Amino acid sequence: MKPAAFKYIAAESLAQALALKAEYGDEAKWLAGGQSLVPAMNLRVAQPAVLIDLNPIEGMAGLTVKEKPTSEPHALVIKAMTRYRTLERSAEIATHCPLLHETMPHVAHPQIRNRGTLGGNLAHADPASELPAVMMVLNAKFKAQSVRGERWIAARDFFYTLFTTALAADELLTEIAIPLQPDTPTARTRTCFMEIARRRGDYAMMGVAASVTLDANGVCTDAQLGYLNAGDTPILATQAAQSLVGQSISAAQIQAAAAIARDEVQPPGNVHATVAFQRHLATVLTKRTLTTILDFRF
Amino acid sequence: MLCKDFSLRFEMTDVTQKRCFVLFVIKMSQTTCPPKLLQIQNLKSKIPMSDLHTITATVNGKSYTRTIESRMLLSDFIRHELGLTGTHVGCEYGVCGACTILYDNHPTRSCLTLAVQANGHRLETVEGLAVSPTQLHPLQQAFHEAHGLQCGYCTPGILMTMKAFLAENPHPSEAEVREALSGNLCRCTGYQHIVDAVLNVKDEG
Ligand SMILES: Cc1cc2nc3c(=O)[nH]c(=O)nc-3n(C[C@H](O)[C@H](O)[C@H](O)COP(=O)(O)OP(=O)(O)OC[C@H]3O[C@@H](n4cnc5c(N)ncnc54)[C@H](O)[C@@H]3O)c2cc1C
Ligand code: FES
Ligand code: FES
Repeated sequence: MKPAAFKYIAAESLAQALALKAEYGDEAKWLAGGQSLVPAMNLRVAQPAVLIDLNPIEGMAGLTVKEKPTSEPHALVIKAMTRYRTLERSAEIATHCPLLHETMPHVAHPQIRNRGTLGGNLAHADPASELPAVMMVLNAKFKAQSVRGERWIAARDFFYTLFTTALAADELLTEIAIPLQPDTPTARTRTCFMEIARRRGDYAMMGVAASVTLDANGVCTDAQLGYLNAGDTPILATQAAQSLVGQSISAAQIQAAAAIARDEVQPPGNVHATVAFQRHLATVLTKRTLTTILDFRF
Repeated sequence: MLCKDFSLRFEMTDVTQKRCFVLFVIKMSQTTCPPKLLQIQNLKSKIPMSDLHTITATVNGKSYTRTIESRMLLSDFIRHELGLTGTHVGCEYGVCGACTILYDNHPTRSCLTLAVQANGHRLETVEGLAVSPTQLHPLQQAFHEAHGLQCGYCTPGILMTMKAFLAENPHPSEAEVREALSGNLCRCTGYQHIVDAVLNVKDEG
């Protein structure tokens, strides 16, 4: 199982990479961590004619916490070629984005995390991956660049279907911006990620990223529930989440939200888990994440 | 048709996380496969049959320069071009971990890296571990003593993974060792003796 022949180009700069992609279009593929593309090439399910290697380009990795003046939310900005390994070990992410921090160890195995990149993961758009669901819950925005210019795409508009995104053939995902929600006297946000896989590092049978915001009186003002391996894209259970808003959440309301989420997910089922089992897991994980947030994280 | 056969084969060989490729193939067979394949074939005629690159990489402290095709995997470069056959190849799509080497100090799947990407990088393989032909690396010695291998197919990948893991976390718990081992499959030992060996290295210092 070896890749078919292709032309390899080690890109030297972002501008050169974008010009090459504009020239070759669909015939060329970006090479980021290679942890999804190279196996697909080895299996010959992907046979790009040209590979544009992003790894040699300086300045495409790294993360910063942007402090914005007064009313605007602070944002965590992560460059596309930042490897999982960096995200997993980042003290900034642990402090400012605990949901992402909690999720990273669940993404594949240590060796894969040494190479895999956030941009490659999101552009690959596997609905069974943890990160697209987490980005939807966090309401992240993605910057796409091409020779034509740049634009920002909301995570919630980015994932079209299996392995298909809003990116055009000449576009490169370059930055991921996550709005941060620091505590204020009137709003505190807490999050939780859980998944169930047959084996640590495997793609999970089901996973949930949950976020709850409470006001000063303990009333829920916002809730987000994102599911992986629950449809052709990451799935937001909007009705289940909405059912929590406007009240101080009780165990019975968690139970009810989990029952709604069970019907909102559209899991595909596979050799590891039937659809019924995946729905069962969605119910259980919804309850566990919400209970963990409310009992232990506020 | 070809694609359907593929998807069937993957569903049947239900080993580990092939899901992503199953989906790839199912998706292609349902929708874009025939036009995409045709498109690729048309365009392949424009691509030269061989795309040669001259690279220099340091492997176990020694510098090697070779001219290779861009489609050569790093695992094949190490084994066939350099003759370092201690690095094993099990699956060639990232699941088994047998091909794990250190790439700039970090455990990496050599089957998911192209040889051409290693230009200017520093690699370490199992051949670089032993102190001398008669003295094993402490990690190898611990595997020997705890019976941490049977057929030995998985062992080089596990040793390279664990070398970097212990350098970062010299006093791991058993749970941490098992977690670090999650990316390496062993068909023989049942893992217990491997975990024991890694913990023994810790005990020695
Ligand atoms: C054994 C194994 C287990 C795994 N388990 C998991 C898991 O549990 N969870 C999980 O989420 N993932 C898992 N993965 C996949 C892994 O996370 C990949 O690293 C990830 O999906 C792709 O990231 P990459 O940087 O390696 O991208 P690549 O493989 O290099 O690229 C993937 C695709 O995205 C395109 N691309 C890359 N970068 C960009 C960009 N900046 N802009 C636009 N397009 C781009 C490429 O052209 C390609 O089509 C696993 C992989 C393996 C081999
Ligand atoms: S050969 Fe199996 S992971 Fe590389
Ligand atoms: S010892 Fe045989 S595969 Fe591990």
